[in-house]
Amino acid sequence: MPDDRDDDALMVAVAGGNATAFRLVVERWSPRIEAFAARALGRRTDAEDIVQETFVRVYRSAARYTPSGRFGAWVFRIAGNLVRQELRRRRVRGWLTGNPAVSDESVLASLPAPQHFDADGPLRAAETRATLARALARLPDRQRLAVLLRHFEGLPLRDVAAALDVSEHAAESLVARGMRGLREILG
Amino acid sequence: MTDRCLEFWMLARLADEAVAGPETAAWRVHVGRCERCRLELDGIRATESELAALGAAEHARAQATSLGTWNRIQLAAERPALATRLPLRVAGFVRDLAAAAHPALAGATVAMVAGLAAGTWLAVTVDRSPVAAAAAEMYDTSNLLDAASAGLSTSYFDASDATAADTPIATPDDSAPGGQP
Repeated sequence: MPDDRDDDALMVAVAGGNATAFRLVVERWSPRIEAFAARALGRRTDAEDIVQETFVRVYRSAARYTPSGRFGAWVFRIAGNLVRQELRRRRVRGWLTGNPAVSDESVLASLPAPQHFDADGPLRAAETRATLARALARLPDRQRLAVLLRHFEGLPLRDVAAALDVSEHAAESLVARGMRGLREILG
Repeated sequence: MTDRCLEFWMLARLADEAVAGPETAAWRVHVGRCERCRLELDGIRATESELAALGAAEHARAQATSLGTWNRIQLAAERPALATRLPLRVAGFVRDLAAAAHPALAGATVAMVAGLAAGTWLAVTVDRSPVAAAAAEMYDTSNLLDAASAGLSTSYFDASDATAADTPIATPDDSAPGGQP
């Protein structure tokens, strides 16, 4: 049975230990977090780990959440921090092992993006999206995250800034540079 | 200003209606006259639409494959946090550390680093001082002399070496049949 309570009301219930409310929050937001993390990190398993860790943190920090109508910004901030942490860990791992060959680019490009789209739209749209996915994978990490949060997730700029822990101006700049990069790659 | 083609960030701001501010009025006038800027703006808008469509499609896919998500999250969320899983003493220490927050941790780290640095400096300095060098030399020499006088030199060798080392070196006189004349 669908629950139309808004996120703030659900989070108040979660803070009071209501498991049903927590499940609703998870069902409402986990697909978005997973899609974002998968496109940002390129590995479905890593994205699942990010989703799990994000909601464990949401659960444990529910009492500290201030209902302000910005649950999306809050949850994407947690997920954004975890994604950036994972990207840093990968860089360090690559540096330590001298094997940066596991590039995000190749992994991201290998995501089975077009398969899902074929059923819903014309082949051309699927191809365009696959091309776009590959182009996204070639962007620098921070620009990719900024573009994903702004245009893939549709977050307002101030939430993008919060998720990336930068000023709003810096977030706008990252998004613009990312878009420019995409346009250049796409030709 | 409006006669020159717009920079990319200006076009991106124009395309992103949510961030377009009052300064964009002049830019819009330019775009209305400049085909190159208009094409670029259309391209940016098209890319943004594609990104939104890609996002929507991938949300739907994640939704369709999220059957096990809740179970995994529920299990992980119900697991006690690290501090409560540790033995009592360690958990208490972790909680104290967390309560002490950053200044105390920073202080402890500085003290530890300073201690290590002082120890390293002392070790290096003492090792290089003439007094220490002389003392070390005397110690080595006296030890060897003591060991030799106590007949302990063989303890540095294994059994076979010790046998060989203890065997007196034959002199021409000793080996001569009949011994001493």
